[in-house]
Amino acid sequence: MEFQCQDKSILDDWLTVGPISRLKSASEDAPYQTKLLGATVRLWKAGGIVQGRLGDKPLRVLEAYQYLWICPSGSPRKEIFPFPEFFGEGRRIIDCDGIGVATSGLRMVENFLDMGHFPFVHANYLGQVPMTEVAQYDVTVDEAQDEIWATNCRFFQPRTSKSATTGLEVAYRYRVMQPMSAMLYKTAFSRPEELDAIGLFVQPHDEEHITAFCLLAYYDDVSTDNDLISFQHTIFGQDKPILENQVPARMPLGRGVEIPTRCDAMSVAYRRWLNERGTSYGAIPAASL
Amino acid sequence: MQSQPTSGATWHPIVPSHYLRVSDNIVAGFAQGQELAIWRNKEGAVQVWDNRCPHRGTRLTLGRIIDDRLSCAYHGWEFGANGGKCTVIPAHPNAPAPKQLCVKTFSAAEVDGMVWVSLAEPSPPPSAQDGADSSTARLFVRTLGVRATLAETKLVLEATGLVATSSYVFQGQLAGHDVTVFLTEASNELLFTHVWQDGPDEASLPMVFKAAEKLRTVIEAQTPQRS
Repeated sequence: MEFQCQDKSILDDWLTVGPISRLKSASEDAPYQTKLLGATVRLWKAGGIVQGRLGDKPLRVLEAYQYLWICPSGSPRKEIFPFPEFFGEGRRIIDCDGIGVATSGLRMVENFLDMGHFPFVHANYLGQVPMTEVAQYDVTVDEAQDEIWATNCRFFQPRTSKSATTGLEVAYRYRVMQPMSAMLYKTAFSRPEELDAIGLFVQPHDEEHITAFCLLAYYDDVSTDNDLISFQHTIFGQDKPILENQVPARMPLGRGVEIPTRCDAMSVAYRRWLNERGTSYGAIPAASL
Repeated sequence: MQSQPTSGATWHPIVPSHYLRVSDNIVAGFAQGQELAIWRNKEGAVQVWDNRCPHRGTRLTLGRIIDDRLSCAYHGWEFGANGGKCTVIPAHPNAPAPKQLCVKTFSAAEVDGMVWVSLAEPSPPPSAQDGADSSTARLFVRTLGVRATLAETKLVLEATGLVATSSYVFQGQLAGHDVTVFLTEASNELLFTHVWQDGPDEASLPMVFKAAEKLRTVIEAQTPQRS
């Protein structure tokens, strides 16, 4: 079987197929099997090196940040994105594993980049009516890295993490490294001068089914792993029914199909960037409308 | 049945009127593949909208009614009754919403205990379709989903002795009791049959319900299996 994807921009990316822990008991005879871009891939470790196959064909696989990554075309457009916080001193690395969502990977990432939904979808966790205003923030495209950044973002949050008991205005930075990989940096509750980092790594099973994996690089020294993981799963669990009720499931990239407002500057930049790099997997391309 | 909207097949019965409470719930409906969000404003006027927020495509049936507006579940954008105009974008509480920003809305009418929608544009004004409810007291039995096409369903209804009084309405007898059946053509392969019993005898409702269920089994049995 071949990857069910003609979109070169995605085939040349690094796509995750889950945490490395999936390979714990995998072997060539009983490999870890998972669906990526409509095809079943098999992975295992031999002599400490990750092996990946699509049918008999070897896959270009790498381990990074406790996750498994495949470049489906075998010729990546660039190296795996840098994630310096993963190695940051004093940070705890906590893998939250994934949650399955019946939507496009692009819809998932756009949701991750969005603050406006906090008071509604994550009421009493990440936002609270009537503090619904999204203040102006800055969006920049890093041409050299081919990444998008949203900076100077801030939002009032009643409860920013499991260890938070009072509300505060939280600073955010968002970063899109690939169409299906993004990071969020936010005020660390226990060290307000620092930013915690949350990675969102999307595994597209097909154009309308994904697993959204989440990895934390946190300064929090109060919460247990279980607290932090369950907080993230609560948040993702609140997003899931929204994401599964967006029509169509694939993201329409044509102008005027979905109407943004000022606070959607990051989403507008993300969609424009997808259009420019020609990403169509999980999208309804502008040209087809 | 003189009182139903009569303009051919442009008016579709979609849900029983009593499903909708004033300024409260949002009901999902379908007509020929079009997904609908149906609700009632505080004056009691039925609203039939495209079930899709213009912002991010979120189904509006996930939202809630605030005063006379429907609030989308994703970002809390609010859309006013009678036109679907966006009035509130909570992310920008101090800026007016763009003037042209609207949910797509459809013409609606309530006749014979059912909500009707006209998908055609421009559609005849609902007031032209209004008529006094028919004199018979009617008891609602049940809405049943049927995996079949409209044509397949009509054949079985006719074979059972029911008679089409308009494109989507059949009358006749089930379990020996007079009934009226409204058909909603939800999609090419899914139909809703809204079964009403003509006459006030509540005791016979279970029998009519059983007969309607049996009818569904017959329709689906005669329908080619679809994947």
